[in-house]
Amino acid sequence: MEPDSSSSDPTGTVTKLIRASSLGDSDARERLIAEIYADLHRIAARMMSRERAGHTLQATALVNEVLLKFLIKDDPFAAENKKQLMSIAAISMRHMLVDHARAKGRAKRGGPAEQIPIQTELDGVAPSSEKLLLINDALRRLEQKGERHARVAELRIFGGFTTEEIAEVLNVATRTVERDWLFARAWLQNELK
Amino acid sequence: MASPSNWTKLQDIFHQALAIPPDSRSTFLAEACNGDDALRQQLEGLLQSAGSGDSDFYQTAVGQAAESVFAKDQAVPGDRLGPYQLIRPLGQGGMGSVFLAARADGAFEKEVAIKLVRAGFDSPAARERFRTERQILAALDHPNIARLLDGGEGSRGEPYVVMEYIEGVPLDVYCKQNTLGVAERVDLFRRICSAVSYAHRRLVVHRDIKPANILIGADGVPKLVDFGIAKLLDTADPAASLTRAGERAMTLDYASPEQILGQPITTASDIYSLGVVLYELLTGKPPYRLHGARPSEVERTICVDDPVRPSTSVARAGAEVPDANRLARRLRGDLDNIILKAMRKEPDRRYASVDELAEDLRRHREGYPVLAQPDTWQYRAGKFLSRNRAAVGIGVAVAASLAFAFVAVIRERNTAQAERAKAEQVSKFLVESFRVVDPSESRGRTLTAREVLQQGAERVDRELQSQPGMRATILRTISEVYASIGLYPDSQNLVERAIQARAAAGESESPEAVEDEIQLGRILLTRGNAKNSIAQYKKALAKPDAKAPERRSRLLYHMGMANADAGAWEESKSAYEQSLALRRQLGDQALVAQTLFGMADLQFRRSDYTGTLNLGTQAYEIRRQLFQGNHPAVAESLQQMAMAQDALGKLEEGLRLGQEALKMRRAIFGENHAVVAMNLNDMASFYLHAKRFQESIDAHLQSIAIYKKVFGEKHPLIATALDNLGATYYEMRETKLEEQVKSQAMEMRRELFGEGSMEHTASLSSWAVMLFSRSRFNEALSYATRTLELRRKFHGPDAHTVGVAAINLASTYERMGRSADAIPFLQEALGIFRKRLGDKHPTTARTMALLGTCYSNLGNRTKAEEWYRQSITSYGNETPSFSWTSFVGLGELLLAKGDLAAAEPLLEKAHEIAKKNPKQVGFGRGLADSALGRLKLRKGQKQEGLALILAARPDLERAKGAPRCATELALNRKAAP
Repeated sequence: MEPDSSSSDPTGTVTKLIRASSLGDSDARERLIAEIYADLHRIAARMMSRERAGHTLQATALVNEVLLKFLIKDDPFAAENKKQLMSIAAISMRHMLVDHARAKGRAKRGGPAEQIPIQTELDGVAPSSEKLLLINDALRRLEQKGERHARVAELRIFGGFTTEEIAEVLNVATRTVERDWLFARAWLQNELK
Repeated sequence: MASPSNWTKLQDIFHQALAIPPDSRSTFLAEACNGDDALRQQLEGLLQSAGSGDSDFYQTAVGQAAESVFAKDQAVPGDRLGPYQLIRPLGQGGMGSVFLAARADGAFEKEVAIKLVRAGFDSPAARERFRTERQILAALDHPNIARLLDGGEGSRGEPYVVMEYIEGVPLDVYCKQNTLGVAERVDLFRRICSAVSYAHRRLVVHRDIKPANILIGADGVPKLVDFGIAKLLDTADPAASLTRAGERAMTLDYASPEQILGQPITTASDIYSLGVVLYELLTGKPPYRLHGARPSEVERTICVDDPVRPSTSVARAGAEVPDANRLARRLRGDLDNIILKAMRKEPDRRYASVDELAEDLRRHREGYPVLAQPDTWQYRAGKFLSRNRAAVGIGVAVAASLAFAFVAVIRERNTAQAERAKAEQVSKFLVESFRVVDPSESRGRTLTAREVLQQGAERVDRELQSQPGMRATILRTISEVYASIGLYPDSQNLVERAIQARAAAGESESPEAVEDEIQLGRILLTRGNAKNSIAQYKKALAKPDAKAPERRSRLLYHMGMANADAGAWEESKSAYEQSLALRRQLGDQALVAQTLFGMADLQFRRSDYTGTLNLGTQAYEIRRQLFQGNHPAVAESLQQMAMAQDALGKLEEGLRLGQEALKMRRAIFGENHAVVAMNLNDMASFYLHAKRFQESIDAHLQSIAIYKKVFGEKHPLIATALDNLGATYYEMRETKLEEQVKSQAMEMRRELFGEGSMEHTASLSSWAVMLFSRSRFNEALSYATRTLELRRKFHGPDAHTVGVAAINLASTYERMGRSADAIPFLQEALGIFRKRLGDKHPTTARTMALLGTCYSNLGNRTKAEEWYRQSITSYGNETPSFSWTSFVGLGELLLAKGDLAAAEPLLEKAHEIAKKNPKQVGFGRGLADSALGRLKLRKGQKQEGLALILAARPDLERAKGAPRCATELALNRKAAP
């Protein structure tokens, strides 16, 4: 599947940002995250609205759409950009979900009730946001212990990437990614018990 | 917590332990941890976690969280949308979220399905498009289509549509569950086709036909869901179509090449999808393997690769399919061909319509050859036209109508003429001469039927200079073809040329010359000139060659028709009777039936519907036995009976017969044929009488659409159909729409026939009548005056139409209280009617009655009485509904004079007529009852009299604008203050 011209990044803004960010420009990195964040939001909204009712939104699909959008076929830096983008997309996804889960938690505690809930048992939304915050917290603790493990987990959980893709992004052997993920998963699981 | 060095150690031991079988791990751990209990505990926990847990845990958690991000904007069960409350997500739809819902206000018990589009409208135009599209879809009313019930915008501006909720099983699942055989599957599929065809006739394309959108209820009835919804949702959210790429994978199996390529989607796209559905239904497999294919592969497969023949697909599946060999044999041939024709890559090489597809399935099912040619003439005409279609580019509808015109003309010639060999020769030449029509003439555009015929005639002129007799005969034949497709002026022109050619050949006294004259008579009659037509027939009858019994009987038959048209009923009857006697002698049952049909028609014109039904049924029975099955003559008779039943008020019977005739005509002529359109037009009137307005409008619109396909944008029959549509709108009180379509009809007639023509003035006249009925008298006056002036000028001073215009104008003056102005026009009308219709005729009588009324209004009681009396004499035994006016008029005058004994039977009679025809009589009922009431009072029957007087008063008050009512109202009030 190729991105069509209407949804790619014709001005190359993102490409420039990626390059700047890979040269250590933290401002560029922030702007990049913001850019992707907005896009994730938009794409997720659209995916929700169309034929997704009753399905679980696939993080993979979301992130892939973002990547598609920004990857330009003829870009000479495409391979390098892709690695950066994958990483940033996963981070953005995590930010987006965490931000939202926090907002949700606040609203649940303090915000004014707009409506009397009709079927409270259907309000399955809060548990999932709480779950997400727990995962996020555990992931932060994992970051303190082993940064690479946390990166693997982040790419896996929030980017939905495969072992091979993660190996490429992190520039390590696939075997390493496998081992890291095995351990990180057990570790997180243990934390979440 | 472990220190950094511990972290590395932790991992090492973890991975080593994992490599050891779980049973032996504890020994290993004890050793490896070397007394560090905290480390060992931690490792035990990690190892346990590593072996357990849901592998999709994170995916699910993140997915749910992502969903919840948007859930705040998303409708959830319990939400309200307009009057609906969402119950639970259904999730079965192709796009947008779908909910089961119910009316929250309890107005209806029924559950509905609601589809939501998340994005709001980006412009007022988008909102308008959505609304229009919704209305079109809401008008789809078919037993096999889930209805679109409602729609609107939610509180956040999100558009939604409400649809009938269908509890059913998807088509493919149903067929498997019930182990349906091939025949049953094909039958089920044909029902689906009928629904799609219905929508296509309304120019609605489904765009997403697939088994999941065809639900079969517990009763086995298939219902198509989501009809046109894809497009509807796109109108609401145009950006959505940009993301189709991401979604396409879901329904690609049924998508046509043009859908894949983003080309325009038409009814042909649905035909393709139906083909795929049928493929899968009969073979159990989709035609292509698309799952897992890359987009470019998918595109190539759908747009380029030929699908495996269904029978081959089954044979290949072998053991997977039970009884594969038998099934493959069953599919081989017809069904293979039908499915693959529906699935052709090029839209215009598929079936031209869903009906055609269904029809081919029917033929196959009933053992007929697929796309068989029923008779040689049809075959030859069809073949000739298909060749010519390629050469000169005749449109499909035009080709079809021409083919049938040829067949009809030639068939009649075959049955009607003794000299068959010669007829055959003529027809052959005719067909040949069209075959060589020069393709360069068309210059790549689509030729009209008229142009095709014109080229043919020119060729005849060129090549048959040396055989003027033959040339005349062929020109006449082309004239017949012109007439049968409704191109009357051309038809007349050609037959006149034929007559000239005949004279030039020195064959003016020959059987062929009589045939020429018959044709001229027919075309003159068709064009509304009954008088000249009769003259023509008389001339022909006088010729020696007209003595041959068959020809004579035919002439007399046409004579009967012409006289009926001219209102000369006795002459018509006599001509028909002579024709019938001759034909009975000849022993030709088909011709006997034709004359009986004509006689039935005469009775219909005389409003004797029981008589129509008697004669018409006789004709029908003969034709049915003679022709068996579908035949144009049988359909014609069915339609005649339908009209009689309708006129007799047996509306259901009329509709049933009309449907039968329509079905037969569709089977014979196909959908796009003028005869089908005419039949639809009649059906529209039947529906109107039954107050089924929507069906009436649908039938009219279908009829007009067919006419336009066959004749082009402007045609007399289209004008008539528009007028009739206006009549339906009138009954629906859609005044604006009525005026709109009627003025379109009028303008069309002016353009087609010229200012002042019979047809144009008929439109003007009916416009005047419409204005009159709306009490817009000033405007009515101007139209009526214009009609009269044009008709005097173009139709001659004593034409029947002039009389009609004069009486309309006079009625308008009378109604406006200008009776003195009305009288001269009534005198003019009376002169014409007396001359043309005689003294004893309802129309003559009516004119006299109006004279009576005018004189009465003017206070000239003597003259009024005189005219009323003459009028009653003129009616004789026939007392049509409008005759009340004479009875009331004379009754009132006699009552005023105190002649109660003479007045009473007259007023009773008026009362009776009014009671029987309340609608036609209108305020006449008030007049009759009030006068009768006053008479009863005078006779001392107080109670009865008062009751009548008071009952009549509201009628009179409503109509007090009419002078007669104003006068009577005053008397009414005086009689019972």
